Amino acid sequence: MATEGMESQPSQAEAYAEIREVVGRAKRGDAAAVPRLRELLDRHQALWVRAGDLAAQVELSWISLAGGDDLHLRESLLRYAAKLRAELTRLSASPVETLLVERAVACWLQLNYFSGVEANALAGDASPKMLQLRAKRQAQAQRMYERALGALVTVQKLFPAAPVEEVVPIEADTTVDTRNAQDAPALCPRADDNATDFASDFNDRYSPDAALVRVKVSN
Amino acid sequence: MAFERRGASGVYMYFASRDPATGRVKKTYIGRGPRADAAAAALARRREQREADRRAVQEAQDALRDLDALTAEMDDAASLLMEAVLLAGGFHRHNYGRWRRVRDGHGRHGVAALASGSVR
Repeated sequence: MATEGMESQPSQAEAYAEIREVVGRAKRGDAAAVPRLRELLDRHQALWVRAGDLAAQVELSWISLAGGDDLHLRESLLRYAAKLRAELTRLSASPVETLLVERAVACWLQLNYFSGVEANALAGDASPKMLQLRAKRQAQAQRMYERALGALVTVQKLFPAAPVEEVVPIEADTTVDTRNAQDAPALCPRADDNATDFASDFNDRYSPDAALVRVKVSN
Repeated sequence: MAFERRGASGVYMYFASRDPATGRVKKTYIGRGPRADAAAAALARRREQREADRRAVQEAQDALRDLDALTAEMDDAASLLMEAVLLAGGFHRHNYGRWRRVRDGHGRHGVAALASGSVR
């Protein structure tokens, strides 16, 4: 498979390290780093899958921690997380946008956990040190959530959504899940897409000078 | 508050506190006998409570350590990939400000400006 072939040479940690290094150069004003960055992002598409998996793992961990043995609470959190994800994700969401949505959802779950824990600590007989810790963690989670939402809004603003020819009414049975559905719009590359598709799609979508692609969404 | 040996006759309980006005430590004599023993027992209870609180905080932190690390890893990866995509897409960010499209002063912006080689 093309994906395996591309990702086999350097490990993902090395790919992250290389991207981090090139991002650092680009941030310092090295224009030559930008083409290299595009090449790296094209080559290491499996990074999106890995980061997405990590976000999903984080989400589930926070849900397990918050829900504990209470299956009803766990199910409610799962459903609310799915609702939040659906609300934040646009139909033509790119991999980076999908990842940022996942992060926002994970951060919301973390915030929700610490808010609940802090409320319980205040109601109970927790020590001042414990109250201090809970308040600190709640504030940290709040900041992280705000930062995650800020990043998502930035990406959504800078990469406008592709125009949709037909607006599909929002109903449970007709909603297109851009993350999982096999018939999702072509603008949303998935893990199993081949490298060529991803590379050309990436270049089309992330170039501000490129013409917008019209997407037809059907049931 | 502690028992202190004073002279040859034995130990006596003193209550030490810092005077907020002068910043100096002031010791108040409690003495010995049942009153001093009760004070010492209260002191021991308070120490134990403080230690239990400290342990509880440590345990709470330890319980979240793995998940915190996982969350931080995800946060870091998402931030890095977002920055990479924005930079690759012809945007830049000056001094933690807003992300803006790169312009070269000749009407070219974004990737076109970067390709022209006249920016930066």
